[in-house]
Amino acid sequence: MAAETGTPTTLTLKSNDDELFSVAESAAILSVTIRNMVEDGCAGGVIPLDNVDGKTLASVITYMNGISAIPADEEKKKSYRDKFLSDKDFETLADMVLAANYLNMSCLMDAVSAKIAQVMEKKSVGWVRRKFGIENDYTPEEEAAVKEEHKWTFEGVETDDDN
Amino acid sequence: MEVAKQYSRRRRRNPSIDRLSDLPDSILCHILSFLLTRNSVATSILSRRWRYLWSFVPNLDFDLEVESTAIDRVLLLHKLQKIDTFRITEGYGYTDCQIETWIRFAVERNVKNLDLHFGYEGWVPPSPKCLLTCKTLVDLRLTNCTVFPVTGVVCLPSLKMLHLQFYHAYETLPHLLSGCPVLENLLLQLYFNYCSCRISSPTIKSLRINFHYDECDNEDEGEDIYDRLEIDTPALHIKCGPLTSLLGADINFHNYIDRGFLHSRALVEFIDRLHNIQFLKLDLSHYSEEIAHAAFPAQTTAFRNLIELELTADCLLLWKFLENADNLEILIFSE
Repeated sequence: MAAETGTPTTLTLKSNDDELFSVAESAAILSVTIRNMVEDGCAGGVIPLDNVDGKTLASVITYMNGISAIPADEEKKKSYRDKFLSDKDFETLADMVLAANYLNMSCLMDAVSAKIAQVMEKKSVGWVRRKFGIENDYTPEEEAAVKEEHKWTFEGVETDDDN
Repeated sequence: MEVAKQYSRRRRRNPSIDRLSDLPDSILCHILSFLLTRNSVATSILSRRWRYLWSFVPNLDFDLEVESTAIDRVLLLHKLQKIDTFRITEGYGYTDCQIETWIRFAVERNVKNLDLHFGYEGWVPPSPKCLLTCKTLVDLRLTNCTVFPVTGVVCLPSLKMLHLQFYHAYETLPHLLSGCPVLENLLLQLYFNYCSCRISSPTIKSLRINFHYDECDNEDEGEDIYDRLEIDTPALHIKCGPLTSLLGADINFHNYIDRGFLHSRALVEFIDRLHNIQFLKLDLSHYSEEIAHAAFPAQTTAFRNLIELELTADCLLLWKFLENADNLEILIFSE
């Protein structure tokens, strides 16, 4: 295990469904949460990440390795992030934003948030409710009142075809 | 009831589908901060929980032609005491008084990034005291802003990025820059035919100047064509747009710092862009060797319009200038 070397350069992360992952410490400390654990001396054994499942953690580690291999070039990092997120479906993005928030990784958090925002943009209310799993708890009167209040914001938005 | 049943069925089938609505408000606001304000306010229709979420989003980004009453209303309902970004793009028909109120709103909420893009020329930034003494401002972008005060306090202690597009008030630029002690990035879009301006800053690392030829004004005021641009920026990495209509230049690259081949290349590219120039005074004495040996390969720039050249440089460089300077009349050279 990583701890055997004395000064571990590899960390072992454990997801909440008990999958184990090895990752270079230099990549893993992109997460402020993990960095704090390392600095507090908790990195000797296995680092449990109770809020991240194995599938999401695997994806986050791919990102950690990919982005930390790129030297300080913001343009290249940005294009890596775009490419990394390009094939992720909406549910995966939802899991990743939670993971990024829990792991305190601002660059991933921003990139995923921007991507989710981009997915939402100009979509119909019904579409966003479906995708977000949002239950409409307005009465029809209340909904009409909110719509009237912010009428200017609904210009150019897809019309609902599903309600 | 029916809705709830469908909802829980969907939830069972795909446990992650409603994870976003389980997110804390702070994450949802973070996501909303990447949307135009138009779109983030529109999310208030989704459900009761979403009704006022947008009012905690730290970015306000008004896109094309949002009515002033809508902006007023958003600012009135907005809840945060600190905002990161305030942007108005292509606003038409706003009164100076409205704009002043909005800028005050942003400045009072410790805005970091301010981007005002007005669709007409001649806009005068109101209450410079408020805008030009904003301690939190990091990134300021103004488009079609014609007049800045020549006197009065300019104190922008955090400003790192300044973009001035279609900027007329060249004579006030030194005063403006003198109040920006940590400025690193300056982008200017200047009207070429009014260009008589001095750019002086010890901290600027990136300077980009785009010259815009103002045809209509030129017809009426042909007499007023200036062609002086003074740049005094020792920390600069050079970047420059086309300079095809520049007639005269006096350029002195002081404060030699070895930045190697790439920097020399940038310098050579800059010199190449001066190829239409008629009167050139150029001091490259600090850079001579690097440019001559590292970055001036077989390439020669044709200075066909060059009439007067005053060059301080290595003699190898002189040769490069003279090779295609068919119209040169006066040459003053020192090594």
